[in-house]
Amino acid sequence: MNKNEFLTDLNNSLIRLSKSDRDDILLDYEEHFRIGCENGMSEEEICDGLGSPQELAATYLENLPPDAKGKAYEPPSEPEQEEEKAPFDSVNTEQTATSDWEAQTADTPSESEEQTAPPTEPNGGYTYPPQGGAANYYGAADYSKGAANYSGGQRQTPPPPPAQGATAGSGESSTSGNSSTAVTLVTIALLVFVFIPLVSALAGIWLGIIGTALGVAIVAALCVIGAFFTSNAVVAGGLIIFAVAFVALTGVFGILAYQSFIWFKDLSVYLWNAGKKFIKSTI
Amino acid sequence: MTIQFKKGVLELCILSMLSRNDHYGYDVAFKLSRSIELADGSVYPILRRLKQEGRVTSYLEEASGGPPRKYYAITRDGEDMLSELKDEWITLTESVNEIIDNGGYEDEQE
Repeated sequence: MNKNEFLTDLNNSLIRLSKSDRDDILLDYEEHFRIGCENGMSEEEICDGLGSPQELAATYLENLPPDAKGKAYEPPSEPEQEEEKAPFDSVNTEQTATSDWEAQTADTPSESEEQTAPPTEPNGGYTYPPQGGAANYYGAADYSKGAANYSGGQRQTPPPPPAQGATAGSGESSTSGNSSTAVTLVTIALLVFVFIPLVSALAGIWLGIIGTALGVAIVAALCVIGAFFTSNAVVAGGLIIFAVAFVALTGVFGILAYQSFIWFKDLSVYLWNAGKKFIKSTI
Repeated sequence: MTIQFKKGVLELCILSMLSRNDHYGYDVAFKLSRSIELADGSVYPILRRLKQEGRVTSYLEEASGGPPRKYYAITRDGEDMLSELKDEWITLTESVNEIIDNGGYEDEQE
């Protein structure tokens, strides 16, 4: 299959979309061919890589708004092999459409509008119902392929650390005492290194914030009050500057402290979940 | 989990790529198909839908010496969708891994 055949097939399979939509879609693929050729690939290689035009068209047609979609899904109620083949036959026999497309790619887009319009009308009426069947057929094929890929990928990925612990535990089936000791150790570690520090930090951060806020407010208020009652302008200005700087600095440090608390909390929650997972997988 | 599932995964990959750099369609297809088995053409329907949904935008940029290429860029909406998809993906893979591993473990015990 070469570039023109690919674009013609795609254009014919998308016949239910408006002309401007189709042109827009085809532009993407024209660019793909162009860049592929610049990279030294042949049109045939690019076509192989792109996949089947009918399959791609089916994906575009799925994205139609619900009313059009409802129509598209009606035909599959009678899924028969012959019906699925229909679009290919119709596409191949519609030689007029093919040659028109070739003319279109050579000409400017504005001229092509009039040229392709007449042959598409009968074509659209003829191919429309089986096309829906094709959409469904390819959709199903795509799905099964996706599922196969997916499970393949899963098998390749190494099992996560907690699971490794679980398999290790199951390997030593005679030493069930070992795994219960491990659970006890993990539980104690979770309590001592995660739970208690987290609760202390939580209490600490809020007590700290409230205490500091109170202290800062009192000092700043005293400075401002002092500034009001001083006759010396320099001292008053100094007091105000001091108050503002004091509030700003404690604010910055407060934010830093709170942020580090958040990090600590995230770490603790992560460790907590990992520990829980380990215990669950071992018991 | 239907065909939507695979599409969701591709969406996640495409949005992740675009969140780092703007790419043109060929680039997205080329880079994705190196790690995932997919038809290069299937990225275009997804890009088009993401654009219609406002998750990505596109603009034309002059390539050196050639005609302009259509670059895709992620939007704020796209970033939001990406973080949602990422969370879903991580939760799903963790649960599936656990089912795979623990399922095997229980079989051995019986």
